[in-house]
Amino acid sequence: MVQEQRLRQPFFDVDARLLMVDGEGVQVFEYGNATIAAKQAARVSSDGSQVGTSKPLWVEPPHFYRKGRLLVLYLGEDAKIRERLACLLGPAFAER
Amino acid sequence: MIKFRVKSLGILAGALACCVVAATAFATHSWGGYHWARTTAQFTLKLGDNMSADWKPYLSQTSSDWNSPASSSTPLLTAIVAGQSNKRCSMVAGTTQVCNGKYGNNGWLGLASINITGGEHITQGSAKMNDTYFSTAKYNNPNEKQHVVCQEVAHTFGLDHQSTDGSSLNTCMDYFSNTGTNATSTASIHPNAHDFDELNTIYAHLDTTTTVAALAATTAAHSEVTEDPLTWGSLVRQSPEGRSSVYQQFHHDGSMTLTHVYWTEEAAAACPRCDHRVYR
Repeated sequence: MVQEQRLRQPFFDVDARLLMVDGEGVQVFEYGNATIAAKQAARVSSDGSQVGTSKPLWVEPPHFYRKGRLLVLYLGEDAKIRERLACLLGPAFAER
Repeated sequence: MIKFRVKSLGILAGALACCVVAATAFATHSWGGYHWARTTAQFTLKLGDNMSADWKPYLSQTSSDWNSPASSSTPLLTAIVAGQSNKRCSMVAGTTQVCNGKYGNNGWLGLASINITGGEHITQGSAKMNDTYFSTAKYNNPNEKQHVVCQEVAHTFGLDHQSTDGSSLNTCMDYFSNTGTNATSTASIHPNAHDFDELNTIYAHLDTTTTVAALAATTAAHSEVTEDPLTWGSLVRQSPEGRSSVYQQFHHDGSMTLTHVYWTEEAAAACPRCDHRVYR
């Protein structure tokens, strides 16, 4: 895993770090504490198509994970990456 | 091409007076019951055009598509007006601001956002197209651009997707991707009848207040209609064979300009339902 860059999503209030996992980007949002992260996670619809009152048209299927104060977004269909993320963070709480 | 123009004040009133057929609801793709509050059966939502020149035809086609149901009426008309937003596509009360820009490798092609009051009433919206992706070979084609603009703008009406499995229901409110081997496909680049059914359902009632900005309430600079097709505004009417088109441009003083265009046979035959400014 290599840290690449930061990016901003208009519907989350912290910047993400884009980490590369097996050549694919994983967006990691780090909140001040687990309660805030849980509140942000609660804004994501179960299929990941909506965050609060925003609707992103994702380029790949979204998979959202949360553990502690981390909220993680992977866009893609690589089963190995999803497995590794689920192993680290628990099952996705929202995905398509 | 033969072209003539009719410039008039007050035609808008006639357009707004069109009757609304009672809703016949089969579709169920309302976005959470969100809707613009309004006190009339039919209303006009201003689409603030903050787009670069290459995107403007897609917004015009989108506005035209949503103004032109094939077999029913629509409670929601759109009018393209000068954009009032900024680089971040900040919202403006009572309107939907439509923008394009390089928003980064954040994973989304398009993003629609709305603000809500009272749990259900949309007060303002924005629709962004991400040129970080649309400037790449995979996404930079007219059909994909049309699909995404049509969908993002319509989310701000209160519409959700009809399907998300990637198949085409021949509506821009699905997840069909007009890329790769489907790049030349014109499937899913316009709304379909179910979208208008759903709009009629969502807007079957009247509210006691309005969250929609009045058409004449803008203070931005007057837009001239010129020989440049991009200044003609929205396509509001087109003959079935695609030869004759009427474009409508609203001005900030409440007036509007109609531009009638008679297209060549070749332009019409290429795609009779399309805006020929885009598909030629």
